[in-house]
Amino acid sequence: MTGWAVELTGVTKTYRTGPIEVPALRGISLRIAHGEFLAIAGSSGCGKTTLLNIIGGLDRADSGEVLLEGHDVRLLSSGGLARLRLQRLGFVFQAYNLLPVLTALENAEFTLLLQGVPARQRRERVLKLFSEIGLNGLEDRRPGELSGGQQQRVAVARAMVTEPALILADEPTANLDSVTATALLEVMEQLNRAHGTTFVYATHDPQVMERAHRLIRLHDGRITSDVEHARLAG
Amino acid sequence: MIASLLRLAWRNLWYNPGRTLIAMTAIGFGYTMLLFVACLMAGLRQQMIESGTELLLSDIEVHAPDYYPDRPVQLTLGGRKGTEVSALVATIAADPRVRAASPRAYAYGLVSATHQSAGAELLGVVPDTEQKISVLPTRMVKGSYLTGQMPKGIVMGDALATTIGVEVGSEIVVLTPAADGSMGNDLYSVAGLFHTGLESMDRGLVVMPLASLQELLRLAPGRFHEVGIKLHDITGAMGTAGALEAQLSKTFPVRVMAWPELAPELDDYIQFNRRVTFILFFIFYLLAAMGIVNTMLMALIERTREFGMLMAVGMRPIEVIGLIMAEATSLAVASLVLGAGLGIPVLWYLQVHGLRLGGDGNTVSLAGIVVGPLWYGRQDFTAYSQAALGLAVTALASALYPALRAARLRPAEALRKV
Repeated sequence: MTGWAVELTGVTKTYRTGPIEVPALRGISLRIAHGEFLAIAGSSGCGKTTLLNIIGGLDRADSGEVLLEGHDVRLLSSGGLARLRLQRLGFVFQAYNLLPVLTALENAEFTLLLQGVPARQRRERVLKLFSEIGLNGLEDRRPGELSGGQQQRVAVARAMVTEPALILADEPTANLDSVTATALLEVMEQLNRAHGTTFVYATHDPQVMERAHRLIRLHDGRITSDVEHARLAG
Repeated sequence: MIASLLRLAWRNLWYNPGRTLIAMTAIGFGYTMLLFVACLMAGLRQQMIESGTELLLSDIEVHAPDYYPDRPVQLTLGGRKGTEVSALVATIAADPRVRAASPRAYAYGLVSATHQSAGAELLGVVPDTEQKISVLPTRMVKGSYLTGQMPKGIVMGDALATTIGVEVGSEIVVLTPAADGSMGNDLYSVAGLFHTGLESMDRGLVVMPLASLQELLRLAPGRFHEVGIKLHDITGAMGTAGALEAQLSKTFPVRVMAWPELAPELDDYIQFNRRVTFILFFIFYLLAAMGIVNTMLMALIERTREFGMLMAVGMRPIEVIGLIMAEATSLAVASLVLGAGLGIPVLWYLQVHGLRLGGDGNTVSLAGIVVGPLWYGRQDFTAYSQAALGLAVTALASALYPALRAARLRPAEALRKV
């Protein structure tokens, strides 16, 4: 186990569609410490989501080394990667990706279910989290009965409820109004402060960039800047 | 965890209720058809066996060891000395599995009237007990069946009577080689004509009292060829035959044969019937498999993004396979319940009312056996269970390919699917 939550060295990724090759990442090297609150920003197609996917083991790099919580993801099977994600990672997607047939509470507790946590504990932990992020009273609603903001909060609850070491969030506030987005970010910041959970965002949202402790900018698959946020760094 | 996955699988099925209902109805209706076929086939087998063993052939027959298959007239039970008829029949009838038993003698002879003759099988029976092991007495179309008061009376098939030009009340001469090498012949009176629907019997069987045939064949009263036995439950015929042979052989050598040995062509038909049933089952399984594969692949295409999310949040490939298999199992079980629900009134109708064979209400001769005019179903719970199990296995096997495809999805690619 290294001291880094994430360690990338010379990571490349190219998408191929027939004869067409589109380089997405061109030799990314990056270290993310435990407890960081980090945003990756850049224009559409710059490689943010690809970088997030490779960090989270959802996709494999063509070359380079990816260490996640000290585990070399190249050596892990798809099952091993899934297990690592379940135990150590949380994901928040732009499109929420809730299971339409489950209630809000069942969606949020789904990762705990996969971990084998008993039903009563699952429910207690989810209800506590729901209370913190303003989802009280919505436990039994299906995703189709929730607003976009409410759905995203359920997705955040699903990612947070296992108290993972690292949460990867791909444009989490893109579909939220500013008030809801602010509330969400505050909850995430609170979790980051209280539990030392590492947050990595791929984002366009200035509010997220402003709140991030560290901001990495990508352009054409390369890191063009990597700065500590002045407000927090100071 | 398993219960939760099953619950999720069940809910996933109903996320697209239209598609699920169509698949479920198709599979369920198919299962109803399987029940229908299995019930009718079992009924046909039962009817074939009952029809095959209700006229001349018995459920079980007791003969001298070498009597079958040539059936020489001199090979009687108990050898040349014969045996006490009533004692032997009583011993057999004492077995709780036996419903009735009756002695018989057989010969082949020439039946002649004034202008015509025809070859026929001669059957000697004890009229009172014969009626307990054969329904022939109920198939009289003219005159009456034999009674103990008509020692020189005979009954014959209606077609045979037409062939030789006799009617009820006519006199005929029967000529046959006797057991002592001489020729036996005597004059008899036609008491009645029967019609069974079986050409071989209607055109070639003459029945007379056992004592008359023994006299014609120069056989002593204790000499006869067979004890025909009717059982309470014919399905145990082979076992009962073995037990009876062991018991009766203590007195003198006998061979006890059950109907599958006595009528191998009937047994062949029964086996053929079972194979046809199995083939029909198999065809249905193939159709069901195609339906389930289609349903599951469609679901997979629709839910690619969902499977990507499931794997992203930590569901392992094996668990994805488990989820899809659980959905297939749920679909199969629900379809079976639906199919059984539809099938119960159908099975009840087949058993109680039967299907009419043809519009004229006539019997049908099948593999030398008369069936009908109504084709009744019979409950075959073994076949129903096999059909259900086969369907469940088919569902699981059919879901395996879509499940493996889902498990091989790359989460990042799956999440990009719109």
